[in-house]
Amino acid sequence: MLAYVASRLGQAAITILGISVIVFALARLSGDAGALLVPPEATPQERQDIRDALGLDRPLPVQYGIFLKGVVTGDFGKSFRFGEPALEVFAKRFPNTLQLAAVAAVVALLGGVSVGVLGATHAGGMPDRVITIIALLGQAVPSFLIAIFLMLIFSVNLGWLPTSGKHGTLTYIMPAVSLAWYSMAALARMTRSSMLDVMETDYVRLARLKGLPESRVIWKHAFRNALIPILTLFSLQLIFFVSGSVIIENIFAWPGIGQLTVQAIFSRDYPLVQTIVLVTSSFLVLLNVGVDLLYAFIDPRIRLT
Amino acid sequence: MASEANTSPLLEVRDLHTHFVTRSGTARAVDGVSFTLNRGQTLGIVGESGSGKSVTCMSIVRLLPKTASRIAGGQVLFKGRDLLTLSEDEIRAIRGAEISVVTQDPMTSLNPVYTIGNQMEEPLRYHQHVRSGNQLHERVVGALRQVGIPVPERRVRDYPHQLSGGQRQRVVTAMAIECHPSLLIADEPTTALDVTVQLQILRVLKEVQQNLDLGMILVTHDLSVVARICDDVAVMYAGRIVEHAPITEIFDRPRHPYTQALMLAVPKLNASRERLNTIPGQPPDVRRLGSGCPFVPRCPKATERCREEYPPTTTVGESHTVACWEATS
Amino acid sequence: MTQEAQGMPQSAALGPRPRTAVARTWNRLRGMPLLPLAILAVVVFAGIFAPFIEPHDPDHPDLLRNLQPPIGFGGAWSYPFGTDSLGRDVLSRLIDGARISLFVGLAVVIGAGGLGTLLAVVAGYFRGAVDVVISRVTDVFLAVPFLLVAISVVGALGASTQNLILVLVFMTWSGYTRVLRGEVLRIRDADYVKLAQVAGCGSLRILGRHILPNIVNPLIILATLQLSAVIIIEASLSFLGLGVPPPQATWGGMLSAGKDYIGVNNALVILPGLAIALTCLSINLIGDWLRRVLDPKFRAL
Ligand SMILES: Nc1ncnc2c1ncn2[C@@H]1O[C@H](COP(=O)(O)OP(=O)(O)OP(=O)(O)O)[C@@H](O)[C@H]1O
Ligand SMILES: [Mg+2]
Repeated sequence: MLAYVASRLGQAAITILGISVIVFALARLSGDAGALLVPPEATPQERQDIRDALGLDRPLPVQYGIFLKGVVTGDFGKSFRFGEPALEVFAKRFPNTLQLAAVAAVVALLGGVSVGVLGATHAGGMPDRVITIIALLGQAVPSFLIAIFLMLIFSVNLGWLPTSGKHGTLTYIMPAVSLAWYSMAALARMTRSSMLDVMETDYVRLARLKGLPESRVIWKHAFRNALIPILTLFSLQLIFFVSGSVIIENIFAWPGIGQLTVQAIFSRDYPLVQTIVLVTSSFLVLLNVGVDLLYAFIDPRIRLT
Repeated sequence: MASEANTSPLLEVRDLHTHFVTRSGTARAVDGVSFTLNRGQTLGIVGESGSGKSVTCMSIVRLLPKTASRIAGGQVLFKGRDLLTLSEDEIRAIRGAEISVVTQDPMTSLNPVYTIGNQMEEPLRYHQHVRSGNQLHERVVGALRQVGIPVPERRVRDYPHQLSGGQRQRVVTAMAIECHPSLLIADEPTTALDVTVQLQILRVLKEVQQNLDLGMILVTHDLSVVARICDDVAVMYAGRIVEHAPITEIFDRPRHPYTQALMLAVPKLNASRERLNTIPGQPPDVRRLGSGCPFVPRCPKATERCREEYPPTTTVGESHTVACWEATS
Repeated sequence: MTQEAQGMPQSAALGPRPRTAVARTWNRLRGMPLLPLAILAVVVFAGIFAPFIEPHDPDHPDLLRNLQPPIGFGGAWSYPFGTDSLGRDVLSRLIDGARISLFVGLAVVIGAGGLGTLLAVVAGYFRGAVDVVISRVTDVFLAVPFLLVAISVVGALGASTQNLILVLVFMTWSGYTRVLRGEVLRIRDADYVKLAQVAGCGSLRILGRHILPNIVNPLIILATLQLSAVIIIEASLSFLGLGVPPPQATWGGMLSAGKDYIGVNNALVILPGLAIALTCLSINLIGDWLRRVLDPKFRAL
């Protein structure tokens, strides 16, 4: 078990290193990294100071070394727009995104799983067909469209929900539902097919042969075994929650990093952009390690080997 | 049978029909099966793959795929009650409590994500409402000991993948008997196991059957297994029982040409594991059965009459019935 | 029935019976998603022939005729779907949007699919250190929230159709590599490939004759899945103003502009929304069907 944790953490470290290379490369991709990383209003003297500090006139490997050193020591440079260290700006907004993503993840998981199980247990029947259609729609209708339609219905027409900002429970509803929408559909489909596979196994049949009530057969015996592929998909979806938040936060004026990213890009605040991409990605990688550990908890065959 | 007139049989299956509705037609998987079974008696069911043995067993406990299958007729009288008319809750209370089933593949029959103890406690909780942890533990350990699991106290904390195939089948058997059923259905319980392990499991089954005075139905491909532990044998072909007789009768005087072919296909003394597929020809497609005897294409003695009309079941000896025109005439 | 089985024991061996061949074709046709195929055909047709069938210049503003409703809601036949806030013809812009959606979608699918397949084949066929490196790089790319990166790259390089395509190719090839690498590994170990190797077939020949034909099915399925995903991403980015730059008409851009006129002219939101939803739904349904026909066991993503 310890070896398993260690190896997963090792892989995560390599992945994060890889991400840092991508982020580093992105700024150089445009040709002149100086144009991106130096504030436009800097004096020639300041400009040269920053160029020296970042090593922009030296070979790429050296530049990367300097970049990596900054990352490790928590020095991501200064945000042009906010005039504060980029990491601090990021840290102020990140919790808002996390809260929204967490609510959306719960909505997607609970909604997708219950809908998927319902479909599997009524396979071929009416509920199954309705669910299949909803799931298909979920994967075909982009989240921002859902967001607009929700707004149209619940804010403009009915006036029940506030359109924007983050103040109180009500403001979570529409952003969370739109953010969860796509994943919920994907999870529902995966849950359905995974459950259908498991329901045909011998051990589920044996559970029925033992005379257990159907609810117990489904939730205890079938569901726990169906959970691994569902979780795998869910861990892939975690990326979607963050990616999706870029769009959803901008629609609902949610003060998280999605909104921050777009603000940073439009104000050409590249140090901030770098920080957001690198820290968020690393966070997701570590989250996935957590999911892997969850597998071990669910399936003893992973835990005990 | 003239004796035992005072006791009704443990299980009496009367003219059972089970159909599968598929795109390519209705499969008459079980097509008029009747037999009786008493307490303490072991009935072997043999027959080629697809002859309807498993479907017969699952029809008794009413666990067939919901959407595709239909029990189209007949009665399954268990201690006098017709199981086919019970409500879903009533039949569930019987499954695993009064009628237990041991299935074919021990490697896949146990849930991989729960401990042996956890899975074995379930029937006790649900059927006998045992709640106390100590009592559950004792009962589980007792049942495991009964099927010959060494150090059962330790095994209850193990997961299925930590046990060998033979041990898993013992666990499944222990699970089947822990609520003290009166009928045990074993559907090819040893097919997936090594020869030596097979013998052990059969011995275990025989032992628990005798100790608990169970009625037992043993489905198998292996006539040597039948010879070892069954009292009666029913031979199935294309969804029907074509011959039914006590064990000595069937080995000494097989009357149906199919049974005779089975006897030839497996050398009597040699405990061969070979499946019964050495008879020339293919079993019929149960979706396309005509009105005649379905064995006709493979039967050396088939006549015009066999093609046209299914033979009636006739008694040809003490408790020996057969459905064949040849035996009738 | 039984007589037939008795009388003609070899007839089955002589060749495929026409009845089953016909039946098989019929079965396939019956399962075909006709409506989605029809919808997609319309979109593709509109995309290809956009300049010839657009009733108006999609980018030409006419402020005197702005915000006209569609037919049936008080609009006139000259502008069947109405006009937007600048008086541009919505129908023409939808058609132009189909063109750009399909173009970006196909370009990204071809680019990412090609790159991903190439890397998968190289990794799976040659194994060893190459495989390790490619697999690790694949993991890295799979772990990155690609929309975030895509946005930042477009931000850094400037928004243009070309940049959008390049970024999406660069960020999405990894899905292909991950799935197809496994397939290649599996096929490479198959007996007939080993046999071919023993028989002295060169690597290229084995790749061309045995490996590529066997990964075509999963590749098609993945590509279909990605096509609708890319169309959605392009729409999302254009919606944010980070995709295809205006004045080029895009469905996402139309939605973005239209959302300010909710309540005034809802068609400006509903029509491009429908265009995206119907197109992607059709592609997904066709993808599902392809998956059923080509590879029932395949269930990645
Ligand atoms: N789920 C199903 N759907 C359709 N037909 C089925 C289904 N299950 C069984 N059948 C049909 O029922 C017939 C009998 O099947 P059954 O499983 O009882 O055979 P069996 O005698 O147990 O064979 P085996 O020795 O292989 O276990 C088969 O020929 C098959 O056509
Ligand atoms: Mg069977």
